[in-house]
Amino acid sequence: MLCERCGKKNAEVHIRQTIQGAVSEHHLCRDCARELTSGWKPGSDFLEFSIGSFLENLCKSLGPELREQGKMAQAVPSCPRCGLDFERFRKTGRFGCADCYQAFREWIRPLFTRIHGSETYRGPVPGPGAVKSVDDELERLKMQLKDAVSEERYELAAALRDRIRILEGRLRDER
Amino acid sequence: MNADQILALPVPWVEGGQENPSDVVISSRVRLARNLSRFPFVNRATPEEKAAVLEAVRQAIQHEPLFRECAWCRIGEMDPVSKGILVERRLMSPDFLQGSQERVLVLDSRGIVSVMVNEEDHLRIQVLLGRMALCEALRIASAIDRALYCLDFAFDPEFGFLTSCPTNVGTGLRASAMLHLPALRMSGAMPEIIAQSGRLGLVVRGAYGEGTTSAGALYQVSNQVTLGLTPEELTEKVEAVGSRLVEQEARARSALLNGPHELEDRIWRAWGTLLYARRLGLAEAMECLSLLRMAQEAGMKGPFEKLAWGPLFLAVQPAHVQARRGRLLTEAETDTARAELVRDALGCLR
Repeated sequence: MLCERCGKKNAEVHIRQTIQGAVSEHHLCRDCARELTSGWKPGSDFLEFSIGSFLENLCKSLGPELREQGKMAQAVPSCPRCGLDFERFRKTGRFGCADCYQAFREWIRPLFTRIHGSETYRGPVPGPGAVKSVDDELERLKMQLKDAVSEERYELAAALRDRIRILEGRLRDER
Repeated sequence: MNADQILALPVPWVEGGQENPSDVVISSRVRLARNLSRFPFVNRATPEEKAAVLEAVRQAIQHEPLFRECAWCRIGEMDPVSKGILVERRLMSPDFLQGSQERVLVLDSRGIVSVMVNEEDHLRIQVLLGRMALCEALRIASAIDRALYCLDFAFDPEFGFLTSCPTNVGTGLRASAMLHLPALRMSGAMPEIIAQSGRLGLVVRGAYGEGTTSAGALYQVSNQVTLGLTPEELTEKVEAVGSRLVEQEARARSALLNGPHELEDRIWRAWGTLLYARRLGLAEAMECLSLLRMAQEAGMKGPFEKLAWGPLFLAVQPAHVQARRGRLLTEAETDTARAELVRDALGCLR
């Protein structure tokens, strides 16, 4: 098997990562494996070195997966605000602005599933009326769901519905 | 802020080691990554846009009671030793050193809260506490986060808080605990622990060096995923695994201490090295201090009983050594100065 990064040398380092049930495998040659872990600096206790290096691989390997899903056949998107195109994102593994997430929404869900084992956020919601309780959040999500459906944003609606179900379940358990 | 002013700040995560020396957990840290929705992320922002981010942050914190006693440190204007001290005290990341003029570190006077402005994300809010206190650290970080909601953070109902790097998206949270695990390392258990942590969505790795041979036997356990679990769930997970490692370390220590006298010999050799060495490298100093900390925690009798591990652990770090000398030193000069300061510190204990 050839190294998935350089495609030239034999893969001798095999990494199997299981994050919350989502399994990802990486096959690297010794040189690439060494290079990917060399960014770490002694004294640094910030995590990015390991994840950041492997992220490059994950982003690069997004292509085949999306091709299978027929998504690469669609025009590869660019962010209308900062101009970052998806190809560049795949190479650098960095978004350019908040709107990139909207522009690449369909494309990045598989990446999030592979990195985090999930593609849906759970947690506090910012804003002037910051959420104080689960009840408040449920109410707000239901309003958002109504808007999403009326705007025909079905992906978002589905995600909101899932979150509402989780929260309702939690409330039931608590009461 | 200069080196002397920074050195005068308290360092809660290394203090108080003697009052409760049985702590395997050295420190707990929670970091939140946030971006302002109206500006491009730092990697695509112009200097003017980064300056505008800075100004927006300055205005947001100037009337906020949580930031009442904070210092505003412009990284580009600081000398290398002062910046090194901040990194060694873990108040900012090593990457933040490569500072443009628009990078600022907001530091609170208690030495607990630090906010990096224009690092990889517009804001990195960090809370650093001593011992296992991740839930408390999260509570403080969340309060600061909420106080800054007026900055209009980039947020998406599906993906959560939006960050430059996809590995931080969602909660933007990194919860980590630094543990002192000398016995687990000596028993050869670390490679297996490091391998297993990935299955739980966590990372265990050396805090000061490669995975299994971390200098000073200091390891860090952190969450790897940031999306799909709430901040509380992520923090609890790190805390649960940290507590499990503490139990395993206690078992490994008890086996080592009840074994042959090899460990006792190593501890006394470490004491001898620190007391008599004329040149002392950082890794060697950290290794010796690690052994003495273990001896203290095991209740061994000896002059090291009164050693204040935390302050000395900080004092042997390169920038701290250089600050004491008041100038930049070569590596060899640093090793000599380090040996001298350690001899002085230990000489008083004899």
